[in-house]
Amino acid sequence: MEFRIVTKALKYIVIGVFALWTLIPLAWIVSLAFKSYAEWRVSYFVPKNPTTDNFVLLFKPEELLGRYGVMGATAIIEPATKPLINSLIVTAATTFLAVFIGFFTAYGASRYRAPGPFTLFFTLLTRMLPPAIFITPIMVYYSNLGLLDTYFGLVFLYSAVTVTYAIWILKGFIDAVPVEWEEAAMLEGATPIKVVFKVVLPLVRPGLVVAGLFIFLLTWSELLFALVLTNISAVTLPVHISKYVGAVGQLFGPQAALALIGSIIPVAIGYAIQKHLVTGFTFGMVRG
Amino acid sequence: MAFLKLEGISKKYNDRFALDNITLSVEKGEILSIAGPPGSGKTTLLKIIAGLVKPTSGRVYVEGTDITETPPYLRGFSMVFETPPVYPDRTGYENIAFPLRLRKLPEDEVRKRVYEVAELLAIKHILSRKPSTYSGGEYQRVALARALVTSPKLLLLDEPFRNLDAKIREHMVVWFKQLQAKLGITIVYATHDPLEAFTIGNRAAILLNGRVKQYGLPANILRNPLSHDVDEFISIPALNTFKVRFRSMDDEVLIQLNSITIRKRAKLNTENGEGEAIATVRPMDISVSRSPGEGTVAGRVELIQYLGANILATVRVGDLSIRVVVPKDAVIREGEDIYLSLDPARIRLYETSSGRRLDVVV
Repeated sequence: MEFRIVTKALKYIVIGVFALWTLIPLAWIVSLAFKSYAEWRVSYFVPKNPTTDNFVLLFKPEELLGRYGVMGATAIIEPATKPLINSLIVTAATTFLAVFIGFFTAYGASRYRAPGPFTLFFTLLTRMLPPAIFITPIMVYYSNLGLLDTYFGLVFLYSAVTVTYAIWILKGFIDAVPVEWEEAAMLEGATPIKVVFKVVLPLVRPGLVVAGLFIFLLTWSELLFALVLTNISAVTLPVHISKYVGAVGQLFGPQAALALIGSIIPVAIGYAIQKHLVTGFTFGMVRG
Repeated sequence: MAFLKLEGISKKYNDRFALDNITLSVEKGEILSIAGPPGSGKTTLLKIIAGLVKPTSGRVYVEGTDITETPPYLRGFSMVFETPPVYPDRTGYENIAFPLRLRKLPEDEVRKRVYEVAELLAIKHILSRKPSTYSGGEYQRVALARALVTSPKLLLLDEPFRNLDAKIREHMVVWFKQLQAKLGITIVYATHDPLEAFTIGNRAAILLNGRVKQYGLPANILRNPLSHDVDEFISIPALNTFKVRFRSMDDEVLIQLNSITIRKRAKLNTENGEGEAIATVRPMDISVSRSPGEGTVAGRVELIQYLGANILATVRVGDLSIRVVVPKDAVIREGEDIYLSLDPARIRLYETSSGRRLDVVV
């Protein structure tokens, strides 16, 4: 009995420590976003004079200089609207493309065997090296192909990298669909293409949602490649955040404000689709 | 003309024959059951008929037309698999309507046909429910409804009731046979259970290791198996199999089983006048008594197993173990001495090397 109380207490302590560990930085961002310039570097959480200035400045960068003087002399000339829209476009396109290609690759890998030594394992190769080593060659290629600072350039790279996740997540889901279910449909008059779209695709919808959400989050927060490959027209949100640096130091307030806006979007999407993550996926439920 | 005809169907996987030269035919409106143990090639054979698997050689004909190369979606057949095609992401109605929607039928036609078949199979109450709420029997009926809703030319069933527990299965088998009589649909029915095959089929084929070992009316196969492996497969409970010596004389065969000599009226289908053979007797063809009589053999009961309606006793006779079926109300105990008697007509002889049936009833 006592032992159970101890383990239970331990459980809560571990969970509590972990929760603090992850939530404190988040709380700090919320707090910073509403703090005025004078309070950015102080160590208390709740701002004395809460302000929405940081948010307003995001969309009126021309006022930065007037407000903070030398401190506000940044490279920022554009409001945050454009990077926000860029990020949405690039992330949505990447997610769609990676899940779409990933689904068909996973279907092929699940149902057919490739000749020779080519296995699905090879798709993991790109994940085994640190991304940083790809940057230089990709820069060179992109520069020659005219893909620097374009949506297409980013989407192409992001989907090539994240499609691996889509393949592996979806393969598990497709493997769980009995081949007989496809064969029955084929006998009932469905061509192989129709079988994929009318039988397999709806059955693995929860897998599509999981893979999509995962890739959305990865792409949404990607900084390294975007920083190198974009400059003006295709700048994404993380890159834009990193540009709030004044002549003397980081502009923590606007950075936090934009990070907060940037976090709300994926959280909202995750919340909206959470019911698709769990419903409708009960295989092998034949009972006697 | 036979409705469905298989001619010399073989299927090889990596040099191993999954099916070896299968020739069968099915008449319109008839049920052909294919019985065979797991791995005997039943599913492969059904899939070849369905067009889901290509045979290595051989042809499939429907009403005289060669359909070997026709893709499955143009054949107009239906199939219910061991894992019945009932999709968990949609309701019973949508599952049954699925093949009709593929045919792009108008919605009121779809509704009419779904309700018709649901009425027939008594599953109207589950049309609006998702499969996770079904009982095993309902699940199987939805699968069947889906297969029937298109009025297929041929229905292929691969162990459709395997996942049901024994009592429900028994009920479903009878119900299914009545349903078929009502619909008159042509069916190929695969099962691992020979008794289920004999109950359901107008004709049955015994498939062992990819070959049709015997094909015909269930009663004939049951009474007169043509090879040792068929006899072994269809006998439940398992056969008594002995090594014997035989000597044939005119219309009679002398069978020597250790110290026991049995005379059987039969002619032998072999050139040898004497030699070794395999003899089999079904446990229910041996009778038991407490007192010795003419031609009885004494033995001691070693083990008792309960089969339901009967008791299966393993009796030690000399150095032989003989299994016999005893009526349930015969009180019999382990260690007891009893006497066995056996109708010689019930003994079957098979060639040792090939397993071919040797005795011909005269």
